[in-house]
Amino acid sequence: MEKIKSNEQFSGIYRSSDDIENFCLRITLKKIYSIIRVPKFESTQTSFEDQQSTTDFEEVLSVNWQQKVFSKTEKAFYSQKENCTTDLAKRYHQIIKDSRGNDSNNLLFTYIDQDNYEPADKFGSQNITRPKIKRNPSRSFLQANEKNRSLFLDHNQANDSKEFETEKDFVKMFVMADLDPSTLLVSIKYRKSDGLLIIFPDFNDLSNGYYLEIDQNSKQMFVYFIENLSLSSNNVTNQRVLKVEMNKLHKETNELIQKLSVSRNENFELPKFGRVVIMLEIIKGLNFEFDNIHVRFKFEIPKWLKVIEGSLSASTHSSFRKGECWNFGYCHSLVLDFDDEFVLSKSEVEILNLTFELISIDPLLGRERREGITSIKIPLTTPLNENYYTLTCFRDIQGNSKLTDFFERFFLGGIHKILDKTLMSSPIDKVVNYYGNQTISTGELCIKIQKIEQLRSSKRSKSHFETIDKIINSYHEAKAQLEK
Amino acid sequence: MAEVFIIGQILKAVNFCEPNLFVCWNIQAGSLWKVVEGESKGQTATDRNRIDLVSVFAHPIDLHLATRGLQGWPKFNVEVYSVNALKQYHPVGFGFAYIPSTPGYHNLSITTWKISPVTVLDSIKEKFFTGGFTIVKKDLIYSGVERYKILTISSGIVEVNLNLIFKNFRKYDIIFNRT
Repeated sequence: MEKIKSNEQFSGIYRSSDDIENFCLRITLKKIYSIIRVPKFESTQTSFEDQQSTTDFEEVLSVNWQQKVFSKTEKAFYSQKENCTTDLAKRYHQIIKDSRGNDSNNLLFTYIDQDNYEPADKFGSQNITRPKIKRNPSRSFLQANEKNRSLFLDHNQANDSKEFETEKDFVKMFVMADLDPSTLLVSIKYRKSDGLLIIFPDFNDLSNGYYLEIDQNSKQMFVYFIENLSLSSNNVTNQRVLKVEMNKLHKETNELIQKLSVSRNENFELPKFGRVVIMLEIIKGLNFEFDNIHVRFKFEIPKWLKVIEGSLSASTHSSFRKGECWNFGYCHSLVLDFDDEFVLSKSEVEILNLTFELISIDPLLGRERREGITSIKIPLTTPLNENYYTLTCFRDIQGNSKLTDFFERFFLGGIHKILDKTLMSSPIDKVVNYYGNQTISTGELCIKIQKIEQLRSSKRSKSHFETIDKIINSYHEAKAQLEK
Repeated sequence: MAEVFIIGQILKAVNFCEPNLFVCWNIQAGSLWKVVEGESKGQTATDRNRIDLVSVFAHPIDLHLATRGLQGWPKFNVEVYSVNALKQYHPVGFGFAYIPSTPGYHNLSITTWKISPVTVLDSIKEKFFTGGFTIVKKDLIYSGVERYKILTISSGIVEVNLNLIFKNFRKYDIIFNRT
């Protein structure tokens, strides 16, 4: 046989540093038939289920600070509109009216401060004269700090402390059981000025309940437990921070989704025909003779190509050397539209010719000298093998003699007398170098070329097939020639 | 829309004569392009280390771009500044390069230049007082007619490592260099 522990009841006094709105308690009321627990036969352990089996009634109520829970009598009273004359009564009537349909015959109910309930029994305020001080750091809601310790000790020593007599400063709340007669289970008082909270009886745990004996026609026994469900200030702060962060994240995500949804709606620009973008970077020049060099360049394109963006000729800035290197770091882009059907139907590969001319300018007298010319051919539709090119440059010798060339360049400057075309493009009338000019190698020009094509899908797939067909045909032709 | 993800870092600046360097960078693109996420411009820390004329920055870049067309392909623009003992800074290098048009890893070496003093007096001022000349209109760095009239001096190189991811370009029948 197991004896029940003593049913001592004490007040709990706590000091709250955070908002009282975070206060929450849970009351569990159970009906019992004996205060002595009888273990079952051949059972050595008494589990919670076993304990439950000895009770046929259990009610649990979780309430926040100043949360109104109506009793059966109150519900019946306030549901009649005629009874409600005060503002509070009218508010209660509205609440009961709104919550109609959720009728339940609960035993537990509450009185809040506005109800002006004054207990007349032993739990009344007058009895809280010798409170038991509890300082439990594990209790999350209320933590008495060292600063308040002296205050609590003073209260403990004083039998009739003025601290607890000034009832008007306290906001009250009572949790009742709707038994016959109505019985006060818990009284809670809170003083906002210093965060003092008094609860009677104090919180307990499920292993050590408070017993209640109702002596009417028949004797009824109840046990109830008071649990603290309040959030700690840290938890509350973390939750608030988390809430703010979540809201921020939600807003940002929505903005991003909106932005992305806009982007999805925007269609990519599809040209009517084929389009090619040529991106030229003139990186640097190496090993030239005179200083203050700039590069002039020019695209030569077939007439049926249409320039959409960019210019066909331009020049870089003038650059002074650093060692034997002239940095340009210049970018130029050209967007061209073309009839891809026409281009792909042609047997030969279309080529763009890009010519460069490097010119140095005398900073004092402004004399121009050609430092070198070079060119590169860019296929229009076939991919480039590489991006970076180092182009070797050359220039014509003036007067076809190195000596005269030197003096002329030094004193007069090297004015370019002949067109670039005659030196770099395809031979005219099968005559190479019509004027019989002599040339000399000069420096090097480092460039980077990138090419992006956009063809109509049907044409692109067709072009691949055509290329394969061409290869097979060429193979057959070559084989036939070898056999001959 | 087609999308480009640019992930990488401004690794270092090499061969600059000036000490205490930092780099202001930005990625410029045409009107058809827009930034979906990430920063399209920034500034590195000032590096005081001058071993073998190398200033290491290891400054991260993470950008997501979306485009409605091929025009205005993005360019990586760098401006290198030097800080003197009086905490005054002046430009020592301007340079830019196209973002590569193929996906994958790329190592860009952006050659830079700075504005050259025109007269001897300007040279003396540059050496002892102001530190260097800058451009009043920033767009002159990458545009302008008769650019040859802008006198510049070759400066160092800024090395940038980039990893590129391209999305939806194939859907719009776009062929890159090596595809």
